[in-house]
Amino acid sequence: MVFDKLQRPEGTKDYLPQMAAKKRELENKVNQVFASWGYQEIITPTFEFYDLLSSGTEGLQAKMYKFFNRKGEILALRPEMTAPIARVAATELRDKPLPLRLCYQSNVFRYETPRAGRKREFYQAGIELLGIETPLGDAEVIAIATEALLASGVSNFKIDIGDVDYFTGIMEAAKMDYRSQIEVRQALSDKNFVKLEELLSDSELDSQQQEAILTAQNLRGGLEVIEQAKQLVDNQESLEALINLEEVYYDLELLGVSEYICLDLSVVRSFDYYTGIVFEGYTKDLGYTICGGGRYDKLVEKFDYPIPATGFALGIDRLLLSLENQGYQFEEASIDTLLISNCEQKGKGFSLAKKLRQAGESVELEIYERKLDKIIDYAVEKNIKRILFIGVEEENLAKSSTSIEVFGMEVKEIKLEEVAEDE
Amino acid sequence: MNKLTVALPKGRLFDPAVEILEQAGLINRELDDDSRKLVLADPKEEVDFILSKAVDVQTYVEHGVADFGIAGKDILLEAGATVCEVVDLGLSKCRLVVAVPEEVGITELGQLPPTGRVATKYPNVAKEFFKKQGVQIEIVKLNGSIELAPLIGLADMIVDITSTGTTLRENDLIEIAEIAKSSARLIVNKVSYKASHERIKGIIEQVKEVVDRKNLRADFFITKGSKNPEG
Repeated sequence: MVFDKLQRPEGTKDYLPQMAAKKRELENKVNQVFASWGYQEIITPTFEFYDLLSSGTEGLQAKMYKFFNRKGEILALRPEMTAPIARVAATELRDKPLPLRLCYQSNVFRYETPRAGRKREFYQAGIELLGIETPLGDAEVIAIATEALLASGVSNFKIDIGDVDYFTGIMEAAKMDYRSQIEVRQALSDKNFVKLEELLSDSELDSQQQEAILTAQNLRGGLEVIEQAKQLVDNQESLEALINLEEVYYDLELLGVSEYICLDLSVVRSFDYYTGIVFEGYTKDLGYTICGGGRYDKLVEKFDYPIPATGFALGIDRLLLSLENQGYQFEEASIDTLLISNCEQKGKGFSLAKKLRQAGESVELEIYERKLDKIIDYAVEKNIKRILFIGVEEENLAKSSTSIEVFGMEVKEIKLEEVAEDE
Repeated sequence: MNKLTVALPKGRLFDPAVEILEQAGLINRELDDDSRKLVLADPKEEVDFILSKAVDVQTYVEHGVADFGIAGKDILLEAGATVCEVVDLGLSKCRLVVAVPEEVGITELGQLPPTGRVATKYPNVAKEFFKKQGVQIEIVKLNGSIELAPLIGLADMIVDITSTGTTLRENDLIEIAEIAKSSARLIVNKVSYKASHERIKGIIEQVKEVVDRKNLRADFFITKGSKNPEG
């Protein structure tokens, strides 16, 4: 049979062993941070009912991979994890005491035009904190995001925090209709200032309100941002948003991560389920954000369980890219031992390999019957640290190996670490 | 100071774009879009310039290999690029319009046949627009001489840019709807905008100042002299 489709579908990726090892290492580090804050892993189905998934975000509906089951029901591959976790919280975990602290590592699927940093299948690690509405809840999630990035080894990163209610407050005060509000929010999230100015000058907003939006989207920094923004608005909702943001910032100072934080009112994120604090993380070495999240108090309510919630997700692929761009040195993937025994001593060889494995070493068995130089080439290529020979009598071997005793067995050893390091 | 990379569009937009950036103090050396070299450095200002095809500028900026760029709104719309669009430079002003042969006698969208065929260089813009209007269409993607398509029966109408309307008129086409106004925009990568905020904010403000000054002068001439500002 001849395959005419040897290529991957567009937007997918193979993680070859080296890359897969890096990914695993990264996920472990991030997961450790989540666990250390008391978050427990949750695994949900790869596909769910389309209705459930689409209740999460309107922006993603057109990007879902959909299909039918045999009953004719519409299913879809999950485009993100927040809606599935909200479903579990509202059903199977409903009787559990609040707050719920849940974390995940999973692949998600979106039908996007593949371009910079966008794949159709990609990996996310994230947390959801359900049942807490105070600023400390937001601060906890942001602190964990910071610690996860620190643990990953990425440098030069910042997390920008904003509050969507600041702008909503201004627009509500001017009785702007919902559609225009969405448009303004979109322009803010796209940082399309040309469009923003157009929208504002055609709107019901008075010049002071327009000014409050235009000036605020340009404010970035520490607490001074909030002081400046307070001067710009007089409506209750916006002021409350600023006070909320201020409190989150104080908590982050106490949690010891404020040096990584930047207040930026223009962070509004494009998903429309966010209701308060929103944030996104980025590094100079990658042209797009590496993590993002925020508060979504109205989402779980859709599943008939009105509890507040906040969370974030981190793009594992993007984080890997940033680390590579920064020249980060991952632990090198290697194998400890390649074991070769002659035919008669096979049994002895296998039992030695078993003992070594039990002692924590990784041991590969030589299956081919190859010449010594071929074996060494293979071992160097695969980054194997040493080769052990049992009962092999070869002239070349005597010269290059040393005799040692392992678990009471006489073997010949060639160490390869030195060889590999010279290269 | 961090080095910045600026993507400049070769062709029609090149000279006026460079002029604005020169006045804004971002360019302090000779730049020539005939140059065979595609990356030019300005060591003093710590700026690299990439000379790119106009339709590709937003790709460089979106990926973050360029921090800044100059691109037409028509191109940005078609590409659906996620970049910060920070200043309207007022250059290469034109409009994206729907036009049909005059002889058909259609003057507005509502009169279009149920499934029209549209020739255009901007398939995404056209699809999006007609979808919003609830009009079913079929797209024929062309790369140039769009006006030709309805004349020889390849399409019922076109979606294209026009500035003065001369080309449309010469080909007996009349405009029946405007899709968008276009002009050249200063665009910035989303992360660069945050990561090098102070420097980039400074540049944006300088560019804005230059553009405002230019617009003021243009207004002055229009009100004073010409009776045909569109001209």
